[in-house]
Parts: sequence; structure tokens; C-alpha cells
Amino acid sequence: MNRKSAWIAGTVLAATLLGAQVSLAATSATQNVTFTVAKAVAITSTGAATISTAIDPSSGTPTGTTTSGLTVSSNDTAGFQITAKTNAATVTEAGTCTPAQSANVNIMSVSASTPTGQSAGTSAGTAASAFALSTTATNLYSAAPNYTGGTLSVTTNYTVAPGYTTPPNTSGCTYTVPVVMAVTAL
Amino acid sequence: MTIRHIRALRAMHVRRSTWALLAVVALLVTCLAAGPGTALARDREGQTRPVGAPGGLAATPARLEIGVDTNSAELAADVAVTNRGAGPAHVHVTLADLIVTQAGAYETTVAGQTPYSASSVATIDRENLDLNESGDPGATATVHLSGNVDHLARPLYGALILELDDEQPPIMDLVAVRVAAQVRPSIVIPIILVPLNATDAPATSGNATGLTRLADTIQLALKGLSLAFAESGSPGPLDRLIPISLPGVADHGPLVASTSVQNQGNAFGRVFTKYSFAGVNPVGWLPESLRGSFGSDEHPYLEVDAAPAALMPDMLGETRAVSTYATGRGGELDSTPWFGLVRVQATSTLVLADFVSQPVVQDGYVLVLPWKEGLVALAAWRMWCFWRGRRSPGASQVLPEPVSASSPVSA
Repeated sequence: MNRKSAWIAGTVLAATLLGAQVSLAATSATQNVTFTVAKAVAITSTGAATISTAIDPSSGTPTGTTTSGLTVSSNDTAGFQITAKTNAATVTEAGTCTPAQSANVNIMSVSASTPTGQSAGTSAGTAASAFALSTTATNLYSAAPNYTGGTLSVTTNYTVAPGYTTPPNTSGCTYTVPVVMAVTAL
Repeated sequence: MTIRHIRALRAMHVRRSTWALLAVVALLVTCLAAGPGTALARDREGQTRPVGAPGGLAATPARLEIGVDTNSAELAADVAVTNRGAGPAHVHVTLADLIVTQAGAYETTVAGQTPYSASSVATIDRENLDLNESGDPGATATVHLSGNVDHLARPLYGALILELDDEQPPIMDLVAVRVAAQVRPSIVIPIILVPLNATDAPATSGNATGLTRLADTIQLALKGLSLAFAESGSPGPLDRLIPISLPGVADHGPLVASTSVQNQGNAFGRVFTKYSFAGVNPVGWLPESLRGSFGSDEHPYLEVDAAPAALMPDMLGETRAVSTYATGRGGELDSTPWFGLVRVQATSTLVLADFVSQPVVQDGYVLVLPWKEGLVALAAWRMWCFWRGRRSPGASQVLPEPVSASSPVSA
């Protein structure tokens, strides 16, 4: 009996050692893949907008408002900033009219909403108060958002207050104010 | 005008001269309504029309911070630009000088205007990109930045401006008078060229990463000026009712903390600030060993990394953080306690191309106390007491007379 038990124990021990050897023979290999990800930003306008109703400075609502949209992409965890500016202080009417009038671009004020649609990030930032357009780039966020994602939606708001200093349009023409919306990774 | 109307007019037997007068008046009215000089002309469609076709662009890398060691003579970097619009796009590329406005915005100006212009040593290989529609292989192009940076002794700064040209003319309505905002998507890529020394010895200012350190001519130094607090978010009804704020006291959260700093070095840098919010321990004044026995050590309940502020030498700047968590579903959750003393610690560092200055630590305290709610509650209680007093003025008369020992009842 003892001999039989010893034989079984020896067999089990041999099988265990053999299994361990087989296990050691089947070691896995590790390959380290090193890569870097560059910072990237993108900005897309969803289309500009026209203030559809002519503005009457003498009316109870002497301003015109409209909204547009931007889609921003960013992978910079430090955040991004959007600035707005125009390339010239005045804008001349565009269209089929003679003579064409000029208007100061500061009759237009701009603001933006905080972004939505983020994939990650902790702060939506703080939208700055509306400011008059100028040739100096001005931040749309007083505290920049650090959201990341491929489709961050931002609504832009435009308010035009021509007052009495802006000449009335010549028939058939429009004051078209080019607004440069620039995104920068922080 | 309908046939019935015409018959009715004929029935009036109006003279021919009267008809002519009416026609002239009608013509004048029409001209005045649609003629020039009427910024007040009414839009006939009442709709919003697109002025520019939707379009956009992407760029990578979004920043170019290039360390130039003493052995380097050539500078080379590529920027990939991709059209994000549905149609072909023309992108104008400009190498410009970089400026930081007093408000902290990246601004650009014509190349060669600043004494630290990167354009003095670097050029780009193309200024115009014609890109196919998004998704097409030709939707991406590369801009190559190159230059001679031999013996670069001080940092140089610049910016690559990518601006989408608006090829489609605005859609005009020849009748109505309009004002339009023509959005031009643009990307500004800051370019920072930083001279390095190829040695592993620690630098006098700035911590080196790897085997390089900042050139000896560069100093990274930051000075903390102030740490301020305010209530964030839109004011509630009580804030409108009592538009007063006490210094050092917040009625409610969220709190916004802002740090003012100054770049005291001689190079551009980005200020990164970590804000730490912690409730002040009531027994925090005790020695640490005793405090531990109470089991109430002070731990921050919120840590926030603020968005960096760009600072040129000697410039003042500000970073800010709000005491809220992003819920991940577009909402935010305030972490400010309803009551208590909150300690805010702001640790700021100036960073230039991964080299970090000595940290500047600023501490501040704010008492969160809903005193406006307390005032309203106190006023309501006083009014209730006053109302009860007026409602039962004779309540004292119905009280029983005090019983004296000699009265017959006691007997």
C-alpha cells in the first residue's frame, strides 16, 4: 500500500514538474510601442448669419442680434482660447450700389457661449462679456475652457448697434463685417 | 386690385385728372418705401440667410515650442493643415510676430515688428494652400518651417496664422438693407524658439528635463501679487435683493479664485496654477501631533488646474478657477460647503518649453456664510412676531389676575 502511494505521489510530482516546464517554455514576449501625440486644434464655422431686419436707430429696439456657431476640436488638456477681431477698423458696403458707405466695425459686439459636447475636461471656462469688435484680438473666454473633444459646440452671438453715426445703407448693399475667429491651444 | 374693385371705382365716375393725381401719389409712396437712404427699410423675407458657406480647418501641432541647443544650426518643423469644410478651401498662411495683449490674448502683428521676432531666423515654404474637400486625400497639406538658428542666444517668438479665405461671395438681397457678420475661421499657432545648453548640470533657474537646460541667459521667475475670491455664477434672487458683498465673506458658492502674478524673468512663459480648496479645521491651530489625535487633519476637497496665462517679461497676468466639478453631462456641481472657513492655496509656476520656474505659493481664506439668507429669515421672524402682536392686542387682558394669599378663593 505504501509502495503504491509512493508511486502515485511520484507520478503526480513528475507531472507537476513537467507542467511547470511546459508553462515556462510558453513565456510571452512584451513589446513596448512608443508613440507621441501632437497637440491639435480645429475650428469650423457653421455658417455666418445676417441680421434679417433692418435696424432703426430711432426705434425702441435700435439694435439687431443674430447667432451663429463654431465647432472646435482640441486635445490640449491645458485648454484652448478663441479670439475675435476684424482686419480693418471700418467696413465698406458690399453689393451693387454707388456710392458705397462706410461704417465702423465697433458697432458690432460679439460674445460666445461656453462649449458643450466635450469628451473630457473639468472646466467649461467662463464666457467673457460681449465686447465691441476691433482690430485687436480679444478673448471670448475670461477663463479658458479645458474641455477636449472633437466636436465642441460654441454659439456665437452678434449684436449690432449702429446708432446715428452709421450712415444708412445705400439700396442694394450690406455692411458685411468680416470676423476672424481664431482658436489657439494654450 | 380685383375686377370688383375696378368696377366699383368706375362707378364713382372720377375725373381723369384725379386718376393721374392718385397715380403720382402712389408712385411716390412706392419710391419712398423702397428707395435709398432707408436704413429703416423692412425686410421682405424676414429670414436669416447664410453669408458664408460653412467651413473650417484643423492644424497639428497646435503649438511649436522648439528647443535649440548650441550644436544645432538648422531649424525644421512641419505643420499639417486639414480642410474641415465640405467644399474645397483656400488657406492663407502667414508667419507673423507674436504679442500678448494686456488682457492675455494671443495677438499677431506683421513679421519683423518686434525685437524678438522668430521671422528673423525662420521662414515658411508656402503662403497659400489649396485644399480639397474634407475626406479627400488632398484635404491635407503641410507647411514647412525652417531657418538658421546658429548661435541663438535668446528666445524668439512668432506665430503661424492659418486663415480660411472666403471664396464664396456673400449672398446679397438687393432689396433689403442688412448687416452681416462674415465669420472667418482661423488658427493661431504660437512659435517659441528656446536656446538650450547641452549639459546635464542643473540650471540656475528652471528645472531641466533630460540632458539639456535653459541657456544661462534665460531667467524664469514669477512673483505672486494677490489672491482674490468672489462668488461665481449668475446672481440669485437674494443677491438682487441685497446687492452687497462683504470682503472675505461669500454668501454661497460656487467660489471663483483668481491669482494675479507677474513675470519677473526675461523670457515669455505660461503661468500654470493649481488651486487647492480645503475646509479649515477648527482645531487646526493645535500642534500636528495633537491634531492627529482628533482624527481631523486638513485635506483639500477640490484641486483645480487653471488654464494657463501667457506672459511676456514684466507683464501682469491672472489665472482663475471655479470650485465646481464637471459632471460629464454638460452640468457642473458646486463643491463649496454651505458654511465654514475655506482655505485656498494657489501654486503657480512659469513654464517655458517644459522648463519650470520655482513655484510661487499664495494662501487665502474665505468665510462661507449664508448671511443674506440669515438676514431674510431674521426679518421674516420679526415680521411674524409683529403680526402676532397686532393680531392679539388684548391678550394680556384675558390673563387671570394673580392670586393673593388673602383672597377668598385661596381661603
